Amino acid sequence: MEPERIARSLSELERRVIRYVDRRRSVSDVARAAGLSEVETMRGLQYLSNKGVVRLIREEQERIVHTEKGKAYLNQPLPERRILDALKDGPKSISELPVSKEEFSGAIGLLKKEGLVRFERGTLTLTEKGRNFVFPWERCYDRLDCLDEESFKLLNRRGLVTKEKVVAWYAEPTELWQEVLPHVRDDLIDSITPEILRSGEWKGREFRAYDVVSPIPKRYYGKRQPYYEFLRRVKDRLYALGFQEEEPGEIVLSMFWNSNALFMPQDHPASDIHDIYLLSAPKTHAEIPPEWEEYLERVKRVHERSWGYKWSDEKAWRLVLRSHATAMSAMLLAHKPRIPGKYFTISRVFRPDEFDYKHLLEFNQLDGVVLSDDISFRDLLGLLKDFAREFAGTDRVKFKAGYFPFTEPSVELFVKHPEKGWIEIGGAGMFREELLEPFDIHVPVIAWGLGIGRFAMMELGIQDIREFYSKRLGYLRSARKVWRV
Amino acid sequence: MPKYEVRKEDLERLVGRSFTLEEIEDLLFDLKAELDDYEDGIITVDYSDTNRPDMWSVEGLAREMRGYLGIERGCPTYDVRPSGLELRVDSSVQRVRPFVAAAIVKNVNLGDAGYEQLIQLQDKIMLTYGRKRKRVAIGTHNYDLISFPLRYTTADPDAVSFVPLWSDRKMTLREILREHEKGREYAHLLEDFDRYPILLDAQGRVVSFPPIINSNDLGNIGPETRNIFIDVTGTDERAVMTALNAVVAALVERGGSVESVTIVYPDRTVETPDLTPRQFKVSKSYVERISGLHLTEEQFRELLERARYSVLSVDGDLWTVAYPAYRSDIMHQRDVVEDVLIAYGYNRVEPKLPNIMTKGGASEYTKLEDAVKELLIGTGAQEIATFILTSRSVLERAKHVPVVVLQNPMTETFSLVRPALFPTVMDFLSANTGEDYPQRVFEVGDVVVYDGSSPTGTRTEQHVAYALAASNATYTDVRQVLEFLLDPLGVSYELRAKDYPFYVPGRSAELLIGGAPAGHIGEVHPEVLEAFGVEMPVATFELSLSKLLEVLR
Repeated sequence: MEPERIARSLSELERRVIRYVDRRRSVSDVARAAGLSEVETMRGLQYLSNKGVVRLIREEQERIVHTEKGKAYLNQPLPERRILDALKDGPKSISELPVSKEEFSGAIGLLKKEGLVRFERGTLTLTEKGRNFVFPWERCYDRLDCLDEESFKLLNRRGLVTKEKVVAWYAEPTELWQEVLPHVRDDLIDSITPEILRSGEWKGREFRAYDVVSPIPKRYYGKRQPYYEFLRRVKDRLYALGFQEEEPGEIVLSMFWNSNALFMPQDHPASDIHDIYLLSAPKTHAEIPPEWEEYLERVKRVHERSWGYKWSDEKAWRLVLRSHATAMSAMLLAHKPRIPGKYFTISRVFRPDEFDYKHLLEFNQLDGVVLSDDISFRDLLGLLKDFAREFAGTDRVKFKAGYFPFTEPSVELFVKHPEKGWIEIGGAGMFREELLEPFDIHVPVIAWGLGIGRFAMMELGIQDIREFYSKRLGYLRSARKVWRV
Repeated sequence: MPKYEVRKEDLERLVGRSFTLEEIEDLLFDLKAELDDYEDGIITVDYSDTNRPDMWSVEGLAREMRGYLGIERGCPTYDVRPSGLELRVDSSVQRVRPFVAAAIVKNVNLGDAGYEQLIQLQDKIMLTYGRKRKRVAIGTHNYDLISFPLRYTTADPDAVSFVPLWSDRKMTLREILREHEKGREYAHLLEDFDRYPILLDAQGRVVSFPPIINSNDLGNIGPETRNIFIDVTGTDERAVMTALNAVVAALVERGGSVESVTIVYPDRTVETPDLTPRQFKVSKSYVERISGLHLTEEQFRELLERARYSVLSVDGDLWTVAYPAYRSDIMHQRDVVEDVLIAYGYNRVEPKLPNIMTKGGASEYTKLEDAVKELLIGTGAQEIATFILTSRSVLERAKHVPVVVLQNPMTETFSLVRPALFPTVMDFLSANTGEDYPQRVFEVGDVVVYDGSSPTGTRTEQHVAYALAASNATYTDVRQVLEFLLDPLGVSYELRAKDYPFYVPGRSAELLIGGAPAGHIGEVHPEVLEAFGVEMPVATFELSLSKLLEVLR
């Protein structure tokens, strides 16, 4: 930057200190000269240093300071002085002296060595020398600024003073300083205030220039949580594909609605206590609303006929946490969906599992259905192919027959990933008629689910799935916006 | 998903031709399976269908591949000769483990590969299809050592003893449950009973102790065993039969010939195994409608036969087909549709897009959620996401009362469902005491609250919670945010002074929307802050978006 522009950009604080850095000076010197506090001075010098006008030098120095014990003699004279003064009235016994035993034993050696007192039969008498004697450290004791080496050693041995490391800051002018100084002006408008505007004082005057490029402290405003924002973008894509979003559902469900209404038999392995959360409070079993009884009876009959087992009401009404989003589809079918219709939901589901970088105990699933008289397995594959393009950005797909208790035929969707090879990204199928029959639905229904967790990890650049629910505010504040054209 | 190992060489011998590994990988993929791993000639197969135990060994896989490749077509048939031998069932098993089926397979050439497969197949069936032996348990024994008739009965756990498999000493049934590895693993299946199921031969020797363990003397077979006796017991007769058929059909692939056993129940007799092909009627037009394929009669017949169905007769659109007795998964014409599609090749089917016009859009809730988030982000707050599952400790520190408690949590940290967002938001603040203040955060998410009028005793609601943690945070600050949120939404609300355990008394209020309680607002009590290790004043509000939505509707 030009020296003139630098000069014009100086704040009041900088202007007040700059002229005192004509040579190397300690910060406290500058502060004293400028009539500012050391903190303000330091801030001003820091800004000047950022602009390359002065150089700040940090030096570590040793300084003599009082110990805690030594501080006690800032308010009263040292023991040696008190003894000498007391003896001026005449000889005294030890107990008559205005010092403690400990102080006495610390001072008596010194007094005797210098020949200032005589100590005979328990009585101290002042010598002639002692009458006007002053120890060299006495003058300096308060400020410790003129203590000679010997005195320091002596006081240090008595535990009254010690040395500590201190950091001292110095400032010195750079070459730029010379060039900037002549341009420094005091008539610039610093802040534009309402008063200045009202008075028109600004007219014909110049404004202080700002440093508009140096780093400034970060501030955080509001934004969406990255994972939730990703889910929101996924919803947008489904709206665009003509899918209606379902309203949020219940997390606590009976086994009946979670599984059995989907034609999953009561002893299906996924109903096992290791795969599904059961409740112990506030209730363990649901009550049966009378309006559902006829429907329940139909489901029970289909199960007993098709799977060939004895239905248990106790198992059906066991309360669980929703373990898959397809449970939402069962509710949808039970509430007279539009035909033709396309629906989807993103729902939180819960499963007892390990909690580590690739497993969570709760996660979101994307599930949907298509109901129409005019759809077949070919439409199902077409839909999945569309999803692959929309969500994985690829046309390279292949289909594998899959198995889900509630769909037949069933299919798994694989896409070619540039690094990982073929990966499965979704499962789908056509709801079994045994499932649709009790709902009085007599058209083919496609059901599909996509593994959005995997897409989210790729999109958010996350390796550890727990990051979806990051507790680190720092990460959330600085996270990249989920956005793509 | 059952996973099992097969020897590549053995598979090729049973199919009757050799393959490259890629060919096998593709073939498995077409047949509902994946090649999971390959090492030293051993392929690990991951098979998707939990209802096809016949496919969980190399023999069944090879049989299906022969059909798919057109090497062999139609439903396999089995000669079953009655052995004339009986297995008599005592009425006392009724309560414990009511069903049994048995078969004799003679002149089997197991060898090492066949022996490995037999053991593996039994294990997989018992684990998945057998629901960890509860529904189905299988025992295989050396036929030549057993004297008929057999008796399936129950015994006093302390009265009967025998040498169990992999042991060298006689143990009582009770000792086996306590000391034997398998006994300990499966003891829970018998814990409700005072007499245990037992299969005895004509000399009163224990053949097996289902569903736990076989006898070491009679039930120890090896690669050289030629004549095998199989028993299957369980709680579901159809599953018991299917499991037996799957094992027997696999042994037939190893050259075995099958003899049946008469099961004499107190009230009826059953001849097992019953390998007679099952009959089923399929409408060709139904298959075409669901699959979207258009097939000539010849094509349809070929696909059925390659899927190992035989066509018995055709009556207009209605085709009567036969399928093998080891399958119990064919419950509806739909099941045939999938088999036809697999034979056709999923990846040969031409995809098309549904030709229906629908209007897509957000749920009412999402629309509200979007509006709420936009307004709160406008106040400079960061959205956060926390888990719905939480711990007793978090609720206690937040002075909230648990509602939904899990019976089988994996860890105390995730053992309750949060009844409100306040506790998890406080927990979040507690994890960020090292971050720059002020902290303005909000969360929108699911909570489960108590509801005595709901059949489940609970109700899932969506809430929003906002928190300001700053050296000068006050009630007024968050009330300004709350009003900034509610005013533009056009709802009428009022605040009514009310104390809450987690707020400073006299500095909190209840939020009423449309006259009904919908949330709260206040300065967080220092006791709560202390419990969460937050040394910064915090003021919050929480409100139910579900209730807000009701009013807006």
